Amino acid sequence: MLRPGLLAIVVAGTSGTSLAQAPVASQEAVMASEGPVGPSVPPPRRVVEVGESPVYYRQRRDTLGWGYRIGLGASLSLASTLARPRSRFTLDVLPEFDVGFARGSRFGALFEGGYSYTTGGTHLLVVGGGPALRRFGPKFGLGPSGSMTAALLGHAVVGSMAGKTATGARASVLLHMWLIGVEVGYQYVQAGAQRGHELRLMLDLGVLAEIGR
Amino acid sequence: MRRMQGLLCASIVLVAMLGACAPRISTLVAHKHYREAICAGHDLAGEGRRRGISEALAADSETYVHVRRVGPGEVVARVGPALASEVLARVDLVEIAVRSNTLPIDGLHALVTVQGEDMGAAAAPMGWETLGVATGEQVPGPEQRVSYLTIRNFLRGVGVVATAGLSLPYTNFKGRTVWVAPSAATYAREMPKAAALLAAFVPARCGATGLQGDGDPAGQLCVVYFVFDRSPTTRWTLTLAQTYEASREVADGKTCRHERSSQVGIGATGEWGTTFGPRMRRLEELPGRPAVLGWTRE
Repeated sequence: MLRPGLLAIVVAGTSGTSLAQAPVASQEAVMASEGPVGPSVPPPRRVVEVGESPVYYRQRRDTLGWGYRIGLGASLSLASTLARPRSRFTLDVLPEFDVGFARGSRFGALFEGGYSYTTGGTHLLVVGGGPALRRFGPKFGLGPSGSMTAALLGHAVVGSMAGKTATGARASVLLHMWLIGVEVGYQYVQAGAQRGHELRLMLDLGVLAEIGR
Repeated sequence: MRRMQGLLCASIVLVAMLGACAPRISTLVAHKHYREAICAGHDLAGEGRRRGISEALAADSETYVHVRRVGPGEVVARVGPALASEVLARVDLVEIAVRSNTLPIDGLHALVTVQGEDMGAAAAPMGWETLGVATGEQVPGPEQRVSYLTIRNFLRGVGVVATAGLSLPYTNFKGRTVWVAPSAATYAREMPKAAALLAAFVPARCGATGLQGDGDPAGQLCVVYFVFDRSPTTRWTLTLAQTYEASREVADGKTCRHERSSQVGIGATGEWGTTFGPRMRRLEELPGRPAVLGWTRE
Protein backbone atom coordinates (compact mmCIF):
# COMPACT_ATOMS: atom_id res chain seq x y z
CA MET A 1 0.00 0.00 0.00
CA LEU A 2 1.47 3.34 -1.03
CA ARG A 3 1.22 6.59 0.80
CA PRO A 4 0.03 9.56 -1.25
CA GLY A 5 2.85 11.72 -2.45
CA LEU A 6 3.68 14.59 -4.67
CA LEU A 7 6.40 15.49 -7.07
CA ALA A 8 7.72 18.92 -7.79
CA ILE A 9 9.38 19.57 -11.05
CA VAL A 10 10.88 22.72 -12.37
CA VAL A 11 9.45 22.91 -15.81
CA ALA A 12 11.79 25.69 -16.74
CA GLY A 13 13.78 28.61 -15.56
CA THR A 14 16.37 31.04 -16.75
CA SER A 15 19.10 28.77 -15.48
CA GLY A 16 17.91 25.96 -17.69
CA THR A 17 16.45 22.60 -16.83
CA SER A 18 16.68 21.64 -13.20
CA LEU A 19 14.83 19.63 -10.62
CA ALA A 20 13.46 20.56 -7.24
CA GLN A 21 12.50 18.11 -4.53
CA ALA A 22 12.60 15.15 -6.87
CA PRO A 23 13.04 12.05 -4.71
CA VAL A 24 15.67 10.44 -6.81
CA ALA A 25 18.81 8.51 -6.11
CA SER A 26 21.11 10.74 -8.04
CA GLN A 27 20.11 14.17 -9.24
CA GLU A 28 23.21 14.38 -11.41
CA ALA A 29 22.08 11.30 -13.24
CA VAL A 30 18.75 12.92 -13.95
CA MET A 31 20.33 16.14 -15.12
CA ALA A 32 22.51 14.23 -17.51
CA SER A 33 19.67 12.18 -18.91
CA GLU A 34 18.57 12.55 -22.45
CA GLY A 35 15.45 14.50 -23.29
CA PRO A 36 12.04 12.93 -22.84
CA VAL A 37 10.37 10.96 -25.55
CA GLY A 38 6.67 11.33 -24.98
CA PRO A 39 3.31 11.12 -26.65
CA SER A 40 2.43 13.30 -29.58
CA VAL A 41 1.62 16.93 -28.87
CA PRO A 42 1.47 20.10 -30.94
CA PRO A 43 4.83 21.85 -31.04
CA PRO A 44 5.21 24.36 -28.22
CA ARG A 45 4.70 28.00 -28.99
CA ARG A 46 7.02 30.77 -27.85
CA VAL A 47 5.02 33.61 -26.32
CA VAL A 48 6.86 36.90 -26.69
CA GLU A 49 6.20 40.33 -25.23
CA VAL A 50 4.82 43.05 -27.46
CA GLY A 51 7.14 45.99 -27.00
CA GLU A 52 9.11 46.84 -23.91
CA SER A 53 7.51 45.98 -20.63
CA PRO A 54 6.79 48.71 -18.13
CA VAL A 55 8.45 48.34 -14.74
CA TYR A 56 5.85 49.68 -12.36
CA TYR A 57 4.37 46.87 -10.29
CA ARG A 58 7.83 45.39 -9.91
CA GLN A 59 8.97 48.49 -8.07
CA ARG A 60 8.63 48.97 -4.33
CA ARG A 61 5.12 49.59 -3.05
CA ASP A 62 6.01 52.99 -1.72
CA THR A 63 2.90 54.96 -2.63
CA LEU A 64 1.45 54.87 0.86
CA GLY A 65 3.09 55.61 4.16
CA TRP A 66 2.18 56.53 7.65
CA GLY A 67 3.90 57.94 10.68
CA TYR A 68 3.73 60.60 13.28
CA ARG A 69 5.69 63.56 14.52
CA ILE A 70 5.98 65.19 17.89
CA GLY A 71 6.93 68.80 17.55
CA LEU A 72 8.49 70.85 20.33
CA GLY A 73 9.17 74.53 19.80
CA ALA A 74 8.30 78.15 20.19
CA SER A 75 5.36 80.20 19.05
CA LEU A 76 6.51 83.76 18.44
CA SER A 77 3.72 86.30 18.55
CA LEU A 78 3.89 88.61 15.54
CA ALA A 79 0.77 90.54 16.34
CA SER A 80 -1.98 89.87 18.84
CA THR A 81 -4.88 91.67 20.42
CA LEU A 82 -4.28 89.57 23.54
CA ALA A 83 -1.78 90.52 26.19
CA ARG A 84 0.68 87.58 25.96
CA PRO A 85 4.40 86.88 26.09
CA ARG A 86 6.41 87.39 22.93
CA SER A 87 7.47 83.72 22.91
CA ARG A 88 5.51 80.71 24.18
CA PHE A 89 6.22 76.99 24.35
CA THR A 90 4.21 74.89 21.92
CA LEU A 91 3.72 71.17 21.41
CA ASP A 92 2.27 69.25 18.44
CA VAL A 93 1.31 65.56 18.29
CA LEU A 94 0.44 64.81 14.69
CA PRO A 95 -0.17 61.43 13.02
CA GLU A 96 0.78 61.62 9.33
CA PHE A 97 -0.37 59.92 6.16
CA ASP A 98 1.89 59.95 3.13
CA VAL A 99 0.69 59.40 -0.46
CA GLY A 100 2.96 59.03 -3.48
CA PHE A 101 1.62 59.83 -6.91
CA ALA A 102 3.32 56.76 -8.42
CA ARG A 103 5.66 53.99 -7.39
CA GLY A 104 9.22 55.19 -7.31
CA SER A 105 8.04 58.80 -7.59
CA ARG A 106 9.36 61.39 -5.19
CA PHE A 107 6.31 63.55 -5.67
CA GLY A 108 3.31 63.07 -3.47
CA ALA A 109 1.20 64.55 -0.74
CA LEU A 110 1.43 64.55 3.02
CA PHE A 111 -1.60 64.74 5.28
CA GLU A 112 -1.61 65.14 9.02
CA GLY A 113 -4.02 65.78 11.80
CA GLY A 114 -3.77 65.89 15.56
CA TYR A 115 -3.40 68.00 18.65
CA SER A 116 -1.55 71.25 19.17
CA TYR A 117 -0.92 72.95 22.50
CA THR A 118 0.51 76.35 23.25
CA THR A 119 1.09 77.71 26.74
CA GLY A 120 -1.45 80.30 27.78
CA GLY A 121 -4.41 77.98 27.28
CA THR A 122 -4.45 77.29 23.56
CA HIS A 123 -5.67 73.80 22.62
CA LEU A 124 -6.22 73.15 18.93
CA LEU A 125 -7.27 70.32 16.68
CA VAL A 126 -5.13 70.54 13.54
CA VAL A 127 -6.00 68.98 10.18
CA GLY A 128 -4.11 69.65 6.97
CA GLY A 129 -2.13 68.50 4.00
CA GLY A 130 -0.16 69.55 0.98
CA PRO A 131 2.42 68.63 -1.65
CA ALA A 132 5.49 66.74 -0.56
CA LEU A 133 8.84 65.65 -1.90
CA ARG A 134 9.42 62.18 -0.51
CA ARG A 135 12.31 59.85 0.22
CA PHE A 136 15.14 61.90 -1.21
CA GLY A 137 18.60 62.74 0.04
CA PRO A 138 21.04 60.50 1.88
CA LYS A 139 20.10 56.91 2.67
CA PHE A 140 22.34 56.37 5.74
CA GLY A 141 22.18 52.66 4.99
CA LEU A 142 18.59 52.59 6.24
CA GLY A 143 17.00 51.42 3.03
CA PRO A 144 17.02 51.69 -0.73
CA SER A 145 15.49 55.16 -0.78
CA GLY A 146 16.45 58.51 0.71
CA SER A 147 15.68 59.42 4.28
CA MET A 148 14.39 62.97 3.76
CA THR A 149 10.89 64.36 3.28
CA ALA A 150 9.96 67.97 2.54
CA ALA A 151 6.43 69.30 2.48
CA LEU A 152 4.43 72.51 2.21
CA LEU A 153 1.29 72.08 4.26
CA GLY A 154 -1.87 74.06 4.85
CA HIS A 155 -3.92 73.38 7.97
CA ALA A 156 -7.25 74.27 9.45
CA VAL A 157 -7.23 74.69 13.22
CA VAL A 158 -10.13 74.66 15.62
CA GLY A 159 -10.22 74.55 19.41
CA SER A 160 -10.01 76.95 22.30
CA MET A 161 -7.81 79.93 23.03
CA ALA A 162 -7.98 81.76 26.36
CA GLY A 163 -11.25 80.03 27.13
CA LYS A 164 -12.94 80.94 23.89
CA THR A 165 -13.70 78.92 20.81
CA ALA A 166 -10.95 79.50 18.30
CA THR A 167 -10.63 78.87 14.57
CA GLY A 168 -7.84 79.65 12.20
CA ALA A 169 -5.30 78.47 9.67
CA ARG A 170 -1.69 77.37 9.69
CA ALA A 171 0.86 77.15 6.87
CA SER A 172 3.99 75.08 7.45
CA VAL A 173 7.18 74.13 5.70
CA LEU A 174 8.55 70.78 6.88
CA LEU A 175 11.93 69.22 6.36
CA HIS A 176 12.41 65.78 7.87
CA MET A 177 15.48 63.61 7.89
CA TRP A 178 15.00 60.12 9.35
CA LEU A 179 13.88 60.66 12.98
CA ILE A 180 14.29 64.40 13.28
CA GLY A 181 12.96 67.39 11.44
CA VAL A 182 12.24 71.08 11.55
CA GLU A 183 9.08 73.04 10.84
CA VAL A 184 8.69 76.72 10.16
CA GLY A 185 5.10 77.90 10.14
CA TYR A 186 2.75 80.79 10.29
CA GLN A 187 -0.54 80.57 12.20
CA TYR A 188 -3.50 82.87 12.34
CA VAL A 189 -6.09 82.25 15.05
CA GLN A 190 -9.33 84.06 15.77
CA ALA A 191 -11.25 83.66 19.03
CA GLY A 192 -14.19 85.98 19.29
CA ALA A 193 -12.85 89.48 18.89
CA GLN A 194 -9.29 88.36 19.56
CA ARG A 195 -6.82 87.91 16.69
CA GLY A 196 -3.40 86.30 16.79
CA HIS A 197 -0.62 86.08 14.22
CA GLU A 198 2.19 83.70 15.17
CA LEU A 199 5.46 82.44 13.78
CA ARG A 200 6.12 78.84 14.80
CA LEU A 201 9.62 77.34 14.99
CA MET A 202 9.49 73.64 15.78
CA LEU A 203 11.88 70.74 16.22
CA ASP A 204 10.21 67.45 15.30
CA LEU A 205 10.80 63.88 16.38
CA GLY A 206 9.02 61.10 14.56
CA VAL A 207 9.01 58.51 11.83
CA LEU A 208 7.43 58.08 8.44
CA ALA A 209 7.27 54.50 7.18
CA GLU A 210 5.94 52.80 4.07
CA ILE A 211 2.77 50.76 4.25
CA GLY A 212 3.43 47.43 2.61
CA ARG A 213 6.40 46.46 0.51
CA MET B 1 -23.22 70.18 1.52
CA ARG B 2 -20.79 72.16 -0.57
CA ARG B 3 -17.94 71.10 1.71
CA MET B 4 -18.90 67.47 1.30
CA GLN B 5 -18.92 67.86 -2.48
CA GLY B 6 -15.49 69.46 -2.33
CA LEU B 7 -14.15 66.63 -0.21
CA LEU B 8 -15.61 64.07 -2.63
CA CYS B 9 -14.07 65.83 -5.63
CA ALA B 10 -10.70 66.01 -3.91
CA SER B 11 -10.84 62.30 -3.13
CA ILE B 12 -11.70 61.46 -6.74
CA VAL B 13 -8.84 63.59 -8.03
CA LEU B 14 -6.43 61.95 -5.57
CA VAL B 15 -7.45 58.42 -6.52
CA ALA B 16 -7.28 59.32 -10.20
CA MET B 17 -3.78 60.71 -9.74
CA LEU B 18 -2.69 57.53 -7.94
CA GLY B 19 -4.10 55.28 -10.62
CA ALA B 20 -3.04 57.36 -13.58
CA CYS B 21 0.62 56.35 -13.40
CA ALA B 22 0.03 52.62 -13.14
CA PRO B 23 -0.16 50.59 -16.35
CA ARG B 24 -3.53 49.06 -17.13
CA ILE B 25 -3.80 45.36 -16.36
CA SER B 26 -5.63 44.67 -19.61
CA THR B 27 -2.73 46.22 -21.53
CA LEU B 28 -0.15 44.20 -19.61
CA VAL B 29 -2.01 41.00 -20.42
CA ALA B 30 -2.69 41.91 -24.04
CA HIS B 31 1.00 42.72 -24.60
CA LYS B 32 2.17 39.60 -22.72
CA HIS B 33 4.05 41.59 -20.09
CA TYR B 34 3.64 38.70 -17.68
CA ARG B 35 6.50 39.54 -15.32
CA GLU B 36 4.80 42.85 -14.61
CA ALA B 37 1.35 41.27 -14.51
CA ILE B 38 2.37 38.62 -11.96
CA CYS B 39 3.64 41.32 -9.58
CA ALA B 40 0.49 43.36 -10.24
CA GLY B 41 -1.65 40.36 -9.40
CA HIS B 42 -0.08 40.20 -5.97
CA ASP B 43 -0.38 43.91 -5.28
CA LEU B 44 -3.85 44.61 -6.62
CA ALA B 45 -7.09 44.05 -4.86
CA GLY B 46 -9.99 42.68 -6.85
CA GLU B 47 -10.44 39.02 -7.62
CA GLY B 48 -11.69 39.78 -11.12
CA ARG B 49 -8.47 41.39 -12.29
CA ARG B 50 -6.39 38.69 -10.62
CA ARG B 51 -8.41 35.97 -12.27
CA GLY B 52 -7.95 37.73 -15.60
CA ILE B 53 -4.17 37.61 -15.25
CA SER B 54 -4.28 33.97 -14.17
CA GLU B 55 -6.53 32.96 -17.04
CA ALA B 56 -4.27 34.71 -19.53
CA LEU B 57 -1.20 32.92 -18.16
CA ALA B 58 -3.01 29.60 -18.30
CA ALA B 59 -4.23 30.24 -21.84
CA ASP B 60 -0.79 31.19 -23.11
CA SER B 61 0.84 28.28 -21.25
CA GLU B 62 -1.36 25.85 -23.19
CA THR B 63 -0.61 23.11 -20.71
CA TYR B 64 -0.95 19.60 -22.07
CA VAL B 65 -1.08 16.49 -19.91
CA HIS B 66 -0.65 12.84 -20.71
CA VAL B 67 -1.04 9.87 -18.37
CA ARG B 68 -0.30 6.26 -19.33
CA ARG B 69 0.40 3.02 -17.57
CA VAL B 70 3.80 1.66 -18.53
CA GLY B 71 3.06 -1.59 -20.28
CA PRO B 72 4.52 -4.95 -19.25
CA GLY B 73 6.52 -5.22 -22.43
CA GLU B 74 8.22 -1.90 -21.78
CA VAL B 75 9.02 -2.80 -18.19
CA VAL B 76 10.43 -6.16 -19.29
CA ALA B 77 12.55 -4.45 -21.92
CA ARG B 78 14.01 -2.08 -19.34
CA VAL B 79 14.56 -4.25 -16.27
CA GLY B 80 14.16 -7.82 -17.40
CA PRO B 81 11.28 -10.29 -17.04
CA ALA B 82 11.90 -11.41 -13.46
CA LEU B 83 11.93 -7.96 -11.87
CA ALA B 84 9.17 -6.76 -14.19
CA SER B 85 6.76 -9.50 -13.19
CA GLU B 86 7.59 -9.04 -9.53
CA VAL B 87 6.96 -5.29 -9.66
CA LEU B 88 3.86 -5.38 -11.83
CA ALA B 89 2.30 -7.94 -9.56
CA ARG B 90 2.32 -5.35 -6.79
CA VAL B 91 1.94 -1.94 -8.45
CA ASP B 92 1.37 -0.04 -11.68
CA LEU B 93 4.12 2.16 -13.05
CA VAL B 94 2.61 5.29 -14.55
CA GLU B 95 4.19 7.92 -16.78
CA ILE B 96 2.81 11.46 -16.51
CA ALA B 97 3.90 14.08 -19.02
CA VAL B 98 3.28 17.82 -18.71
CA ARG B 99 4.02 20.29 -21.47
CA SER B 100 3.68 24.05 -21.68
CA ASN B 101 4.52 26.84 -24.08
CA THR B 102 7.47 29.11 -23.38
CA LEU B 103 6.45 32.29 -21.61
CA PRO B 104 8.34 35.55 -21.05
CA ILE B 105 8.73 34.95 -17.33
CA ASP B 106 11.59 33.81 -15.11
CA GLY B 107 10.38 30.42 -13.96
CA LEU B 108 7.54 27.99 -14.36
CA HIS B 109 7.33 25.19 -11.82
CA ALA B 110 4.95 22.28 -11.85
CA LEU B 111 3.88 20.24 -8.86
CA VAL B 112 2.09 17.00 -9.71
CA THR B 113 0.04 15.06 -7.20
CA VAL B 114 -2.39 12.20 -7.72
CA GLN B 115 -5.17 11.16 -5.36
CA GLY B 116 -7.49 8.20 -5.41
CA GLU B 117 -11.20 8.76 -4.96
CA ASP B 118 -11.07 6.96 -1.62
CA MET B 119 -8.41 5.95 0.87
CA GLY B 120 -8.24 2.43 -0.55
CA ALA B 121 -5.50 3.17 -3.07
CA ALA B 122 -2.73 5.72 -3.39
CA ALA B 123 -0.13 6.94 -5.82
CA ALA B 124 3.25 8.56 -5.23
CA PRO B 125 6.24 9.64 -7.30
CA MET B 126 8.81 7.02 -8.05
CA GLY B 127 11.45 7.03 -5.33
CA TRP B 128 13.15 4.75 -2.84
CA GLU B 129 10.16 4.59 -0.52
CA THR B 130 7.62 3.82 -3.21
CA LEU B 131 9.90 1.38 -4.98
CA GLY B 132 10.33 -0.39 -1.66
CA VAL B 133 6.62 -1.13 -1.89
CA ALA B 134 6.96 -2.16 -5.53
CA THR B 135 9.89 -4.53 -5.00
CA GLY B 136 9.17 -5.71 -1.46
CA GLU B 137 12.64 -4.56 -0.40
CA GLN B 138 13.27 -3.15 3.05
CA VAL B 139 13.87 0.61 2.98
CA PRO B 140 16.99 1.41 5.04
CA GLY B 141 16.39 3.50 8.13
CA PRO B 142 18.26 6.63 9.10
CA GLU B 143 21.96 6.23 9.81
CA GLN B 144 23.73 7.08 13.03
CA ARG B 145 26.57 9.57 12.86
CA VAL B 146 28.70 11.25 15.51
CA SER B 147 28.92 15.02 15.26
CA TYR B 148 31.39 17.17 17.16
CA LEU B 149 29.73 20.40 16.04
CA THR B 150 28.17 21.34 19.36
CA ILE B 151 27.99 24.56 21.34
CA ARG B 152 29.80 22.95 24.26
CA ASN B 153 32.67 21.86 22.02
CA PHE B 154 32.80 25.38 20.61
CA LEU B 155 33.12 26.77 24.15
CA ARG B 156 35.76 24.17 24.93
CA GLY B 157 37.64 25.29 21.85
CA VAL B 158 37.40 28.91 22.96
CA GLY B 159 38.87 27.84 26.28
CA VAL B 160 41.77 26.12 24.56
CA VAL B 161 42.49 29.20 22.48
CA ALA B 162 42.16 31.51 25.51
CA THR B 163 44.73 29.47 27.42
CA ALA B 164 47.07 29.35 24.43
CA GLY B 165 46.61 25.58 24.26
CA LEU B 166 47.59 24.90 27.87
CA SER B 167 44.15 23.47 28.69
CA LEU B 168 44.09 21.15 25.68
CA PRO B 169 45.33 18.03 27.53
CA TYR B 170 42.54 18.49 30.06
CA THR B 171 39.78 19.23 27.54
CA ASN B 172 37.47 16.41 26.51
CA PHE B 173 35.68 17.15 23.22
CA LYS B 174 32.54 15.01 23.22
CA GLY B 175 30.62 13.89 20.16
CA ARG B 176 26.86 13.95 19.77
CA THR B 177 24.97 11.17 18.06
CA VAL B 178 22.76 12.37 15.22
CA TRP B 179 20.49 10.54 12.80
CA VAL B 180 20.85 11.29 9.12
CA ALA B 181 19.03 10.06 6.05
CA PRO B 182 20.78 7.20 4.29
CA SER B 183 23.03 8.11 1.41
CA ALA B 184 22.15 7.19 -2.16
CA ALA B 185 24.91 4.58 -2.03
CA THR B 186 23.30 2.96 1.01
CA TYR B 187 19.92 2.88 -0.72
CA ALA B 188 21.46 1.36 -3.84
CA ARG B 189 23.35 -1.26 -1.82
CA GLU B 190 20.37 -2.36 0.24
CA MET B 191 17.70 -1.98 -2.46
CA PRO B 192 19.29 -3.33 -5.67
CA LYS B 193 15.96 -3.97 -7.39
CA ALA B 194 14.75 -0.43 -6.69
CA ALA B 195 18.09 0.90 -7.89
CA ALA B 196 17.65 -1.00 -11.14
CA LEU B 197 14.19 0.49 -11.60
CA LEU B 198 15.44 4.00 -10.88
CA ALA B 199 18.20 3.55 -13.43
CA ALA B 200 15.69 2.30 -16.00
CA PHE B 201 12.95 4.87 -15.31
CA VAL B 202 14.43 8.28 -14.56
CA PRO B 203 11.82 9.57 -12.08
CA ALA B 204 11.65 13.09 -13.49
CA ARG B 205 13.22 14.61 -16.53
CA CYS B 206 12.62 17.77 -18.48
CA GLY B 207 13.55 18.91 -21.93
CA ALA B 208 13.21 22.14 -23.77
CA THR B 209 11.89 20.40 -26.88
CA GLY B 210 14.09 22.40 -29.18
CA LEU B 211 13.42 25.73 -27.50
CA GLN B 212 16.59 25.96 -25.46
CA GLY B 213 19.04 28.53 -26.63
CA ASP B 214 18.06 32.02 -25.67
CA GLY B 215 17.88 31.19 -21.98
CA ASP B 216 14.99 33.54 -21.49
CA PRO B 217 11.49 32.20 -21.78
CA ALA B 218 10.21 29.48 -19.49
CA GLY B 219 8.26 26.42 -20.50
CA GLN B 220 9.22 22.85 -21.30
CA LEU B 221 8.15 19.26 -21.45
CA CYS B 222 8.60 17.17 -18.32
CA VAL B 223 8.02 13.46 -17.88
CA VAL B 224 7.64 11.99 -14.40
CA TYR B 225 7.02 8.44 -13.21
CA PHE B 226 4.60 7.52 -10.46
CA VAL B 227 3.97 4.28 -8.63
CA PHE B 228 0.26 3.47 -8.32
CA ASP B 229 -1.41 0.88 -6.15
CA ARG B 230 -2.99 -1.75 -8.39
CA SER B 231 -6.64 -0.84 -8.18
CA PRO B 232 -8.51 -1.05 -11.48
CA THR B 233 -11.70 0.45 -10.08
CA THR B 234 -10.23 3.49 -8.36
CA ARG B 235 -10.92 6.75 -10.15
CA TRP B 236 -7.91 9.05 -9.91
CA THR B 237 -7.65 12.82 -9.67
CA LEU B 238 -4.55 14.62 -10.89
CA THR B 239 -3.64 17.96 -9.32
CA LEU B 240 -1.29 20.18 -11.25
CA ALA B 241 -0.02 23.21 -9.34
CA GLN B 242 1.83 25.55 -11.67
CA THR B 243 3.90 28.37 -10.21
CA TYR B 244 4.72 31.28 -12.50
CA GLU B 245 7.68 33.39 -11.34
CA ALA B 246 8.88 36.89 -12.09
CA SER B 247 12.18 38.00 -10.62
CA ARG B 248 13.78 40.21 -13.25
CA GLU B 249 13.89 43.87 -12.14
CA VAL B 250 11.73 43.15 -9.09
CA ALA B 251 12.66 45.57 -6.31
CA ASP B 252 14.69 44.40 -3.31
CA GLY B 253 15.65 41.15 -5.03
CA LYS B 254 12.22 39.68 -4.41
CA THR B 255 10.32 37.26 -6.62
CA CYS B 256 6.66 37.58 -7.52
CA ARG B 257 4.90 34.24 -7.78
CA HIS B 258 1.51 33.14 -8.94
CA GLU B 259 0.35 29.63 -8.20
CA ARG B 260 -2.51 28.16 -10.12
CA SER B 261 -3.67 24.76 -8.99
CA SER B 262 -5.97 22.70 -11.20
CA GLN B 263 -7.61 19.42 -10.31
CA VAL B 264 -8.69 17.17 -13.16
CA GLY B 265 -10.25 13.75 -13.13
CA ILE B 266 -8.28 11.19 -15.12
CA GLY B 267 -10.54 8.22 -14.40
CA ALA B 268 -9.51 4.66 -13.69
CA THR B 269 -6.31 3.19 -15.09
CA GLY B 270 -8.24 1.13 -17.63
CA GLU B 271 -9.77 4.27 -19.15
CA TRP B 272 -6.50 6.04 -19.91
CA GLY B 273 -6.15 4.44 -23.30
CA THR B 274 -9.41 6.06 -24.31
CA THR B 275 -8.96 9.33 -22.41
CA PHE B 276 -5.45 10.03 -23.60
CA GLY B 277 -4.41 7.49 -26.21
CA PRO B 278 -1.20 8.41 -27.97
CA ARG B 279 -1.88 12.16 -27.74
CA MET B 280 -1.52 14.67 -24.94
CA ARG B 281 -4.71 16.41 -23.81
CA ARG B 282 -5.16 20.08 -22.98
CA LEU B 283 -5.60 20.48 -19.24
CA GLU B 284 -8.79 22.43 -19.83
CA GLU B 285 -10.29 19.56 -21.83
CA LEU B 286 -10.26 17.23 -18.84
CA PRO B 287 -13.12 17.32 -16.34
CA GLY B 288 -11.98 19.43 -13.44
CA ARG B 289 -12.70 21.75 -10.60
CA PRO B 290 -12.12 25.50 -10.66
CA ALA B 291 -8.51 26.50 -10.26
CA VAL B 292 -7.26 27.71 -6.91
CA LEU B 293 -5.10 30.81 -7.10
CA GLY B 294 -2.32 32.13 -4.93
CA TRP B 295 -0.10 35.21 -5.16
CA THR B 296 3.11 35.99 -3.27
CA ARG B 297 5.93 38.50 -3.39
CA GLU B 298 8.88 37.59 -1.21
